[in-house]
Amino acid sequence: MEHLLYIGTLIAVWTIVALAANLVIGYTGMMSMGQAAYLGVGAYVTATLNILLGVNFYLALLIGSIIAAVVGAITLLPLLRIGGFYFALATLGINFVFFDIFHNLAPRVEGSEGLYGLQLPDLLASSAPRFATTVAVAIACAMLCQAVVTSPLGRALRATRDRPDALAALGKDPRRYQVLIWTFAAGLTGLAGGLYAATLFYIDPTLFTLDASILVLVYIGVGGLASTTGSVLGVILLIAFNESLRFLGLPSQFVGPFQQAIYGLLLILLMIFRRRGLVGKYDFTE
Amino acid sequence: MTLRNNGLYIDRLSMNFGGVVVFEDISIEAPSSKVTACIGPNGAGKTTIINIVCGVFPPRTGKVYIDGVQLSGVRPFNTVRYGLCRSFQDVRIFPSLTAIENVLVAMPNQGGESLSGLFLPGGWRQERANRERARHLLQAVALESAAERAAGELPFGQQKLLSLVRAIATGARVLLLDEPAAGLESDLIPHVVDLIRSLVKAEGRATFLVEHNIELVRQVADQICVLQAGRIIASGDVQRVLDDQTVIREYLGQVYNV
Repeated sequence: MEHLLYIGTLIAVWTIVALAANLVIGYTGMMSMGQAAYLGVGAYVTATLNILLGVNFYLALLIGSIIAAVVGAITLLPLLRIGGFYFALATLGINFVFFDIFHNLAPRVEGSEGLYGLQLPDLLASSAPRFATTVAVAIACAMLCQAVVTSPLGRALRATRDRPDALAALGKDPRRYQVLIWTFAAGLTGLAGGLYAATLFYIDPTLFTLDASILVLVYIGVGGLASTTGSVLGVILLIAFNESLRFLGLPSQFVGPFQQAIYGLLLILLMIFRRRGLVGKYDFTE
Repeated sequence: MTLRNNGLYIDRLSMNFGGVVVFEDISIEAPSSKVTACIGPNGAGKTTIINIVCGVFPPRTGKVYIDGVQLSGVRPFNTVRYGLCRSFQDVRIFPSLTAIENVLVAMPNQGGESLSGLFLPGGWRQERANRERARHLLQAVALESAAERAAGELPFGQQKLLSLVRAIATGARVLLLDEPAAGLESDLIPHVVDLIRSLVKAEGRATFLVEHNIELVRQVADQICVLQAGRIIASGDVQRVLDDQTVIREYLGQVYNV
């Protein structure tokens, strides 16, 4: 039971990350391959404030997501000059840069050895309430994202994705929407980062490598681009699949590589047969 | 010179791309409530005029005025703030948005296009009013039945009409329409004529129309300028310009004159 609650909590955390990634990738057409950077910023700021400065966890979580949002905006601005493939490549660079930053923060926040000892409030201190709280936050985030995408703002985001030049000709600067949604998504991802730290009790830089960013792409690719349901579905199915590998009785050293091979195969099959994912409303060939 | 305080005024514009002179020292007045057509052979620089007015390229020399105010700092994304909106030769609709969403996205000053707008009732009230107006605009070109269809699935002609409606929905005082009839089937041309007459002229907009379809120009234009080899070879009253022997010889040809 304890393990199921832990898995449920992880699903809720990654759902928030996937929802945010789908806003920027699926709805706005900005190919981000560096979402783990903002997840790490949220996690590290929250954990550092809480552990080293004794800041109340909720306040640290709030500050963590605000700082992740600010970092998101700052890192995006120079990238707006480039587009397409090069934009995606540059977001990859963001991931590498922040991994190095997390890695070299030692000794002040124990750097590559990670951070322990979060002072968690009652609602996050033990499995059952932590699961309930994280799921409640994920549901609230899903409702917020759905409100965004069904609003005039969501319409402008999709127009930005479809034809930024035509949107500009109508008097609306596509960069405004790109910065707005990227910042908002980085904030949400930062919030997930803080909750991720609370779920694991421990963070280290290896949690925020390119693997994590690719994982998010797989989640929304399988679930479906430009779909709130797709974001949730992708995370649930893949984490459930991941857990089901336990029951195959594979030697533990094979589980990781096997899982990665399956994820890779899934991506290839998706690209060939179902680019919109399970319930997606957009693919990059459009 | 009073027209310069009313609508679009292009003052002694010159442009070249490297060593190629596109046009030299041309002036055009496109007053409010009138349609000013610009005709001429391909490569004469008609679309380049629109691109310069919208800030895509800076001119070598010359100035552009809207309602008597000189434009400066115009960039493609802020043209509407200066009262300008253009349409393109190719349609450039938003394919994954429905037809009505294409019109709605063009409407200016929408409170709902910000994050705070999500939580303010005013944004949703405005959205309902905008939706009503968008339906009215789609009705004007007989597109109301396609309102909820993805724009990318519409036939080319309907996409073209949609792109015109979208430009009008911005509320711009000056419209720059780049070949609105190009590629349209003949049965859709009357919709373009009606749209320009009812929604452009009646609402007092200044319209600068670049077009090869002379019949359309004859039906909607109040005045014409003919651009040929980088200079304006004739301008003024529609019939007088179309009957001009230089225009017939250099652009229209004898077939049209018959």
